[in-house]
Amino acid sequence: MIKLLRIDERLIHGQVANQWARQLAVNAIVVANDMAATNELVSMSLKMAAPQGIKVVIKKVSEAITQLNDPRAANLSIFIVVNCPQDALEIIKNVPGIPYMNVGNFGRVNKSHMDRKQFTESLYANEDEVKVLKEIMNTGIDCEVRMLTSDSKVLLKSLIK
Amino acid sequence: MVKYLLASHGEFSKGTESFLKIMIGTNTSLYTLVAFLDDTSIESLVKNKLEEIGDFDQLIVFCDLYGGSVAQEVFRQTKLLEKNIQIIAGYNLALVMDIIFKNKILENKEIKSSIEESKSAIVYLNDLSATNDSNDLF
Repeated sequence: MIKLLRIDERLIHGQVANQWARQLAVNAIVVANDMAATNELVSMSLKMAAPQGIKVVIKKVSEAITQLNDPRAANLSIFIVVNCPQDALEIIKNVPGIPYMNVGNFGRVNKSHMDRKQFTESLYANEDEVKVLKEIMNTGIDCEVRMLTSDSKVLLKSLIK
Repeated sequence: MVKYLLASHGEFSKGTESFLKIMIGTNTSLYTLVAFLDDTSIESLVKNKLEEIGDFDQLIVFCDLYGGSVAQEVFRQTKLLEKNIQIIAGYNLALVMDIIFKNKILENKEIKSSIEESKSAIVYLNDLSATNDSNDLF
């Protein structure tokens, strides 16, 4: 069972591993990212962030989709992390049963020379990225924006219309 | 309710509070004690802090250094109180995060097991190598 899909440009780090994963009581984190899956040092450093008792796998987006659609995934409690709206859209289109999407942390790095506009303290996006976020909302999935589970929930549709 | 006190020589405890705010958000039952930055005695700092904290169902105190005078003084002033006060010395961030995240009254054995677990959070990264763990969900 999938508990959440999160966009976080830093993928797994302290907040994700400790706060979200514990709060959601998941037993598996799937990082879907082509670069991380093919770079051993990045993979190792991301796995370092995994809390005890939580399995972390780092997959290319296409392979993550295959694993998430495996019937055995129903027995796990899964948290999916991607680092950009495009990868999130790809997963939402190809994996049924994702209850909602959380935008944790996106666009703050390189915001100026990517022509990104600020939406919240932790969400910046340019026109192309906004288009993808709209496409995600058009699939009907609920989308919220917040860094921590203790932050108040902001709906993506209230920021991007 | 459960209250938490971070107590240190200098601003380690304030730094820990800042770390926690980023990691798990603000906790209103968290107190800090910063010692030896001025001439105030550690005895009165601890005494005043305990008064400020007031009532609680459990107080968990994290002291910076085992054997240090902050831990010594907290121990002296709380040991004989007939209250549920847990004192830990030599804390690390993994431990504080783990305990505060639980956000409930803990049994002695739960505190001990959190301490044991947090010891393994100190890791020599030069020795880290790719694990043979499968990179598959199943």
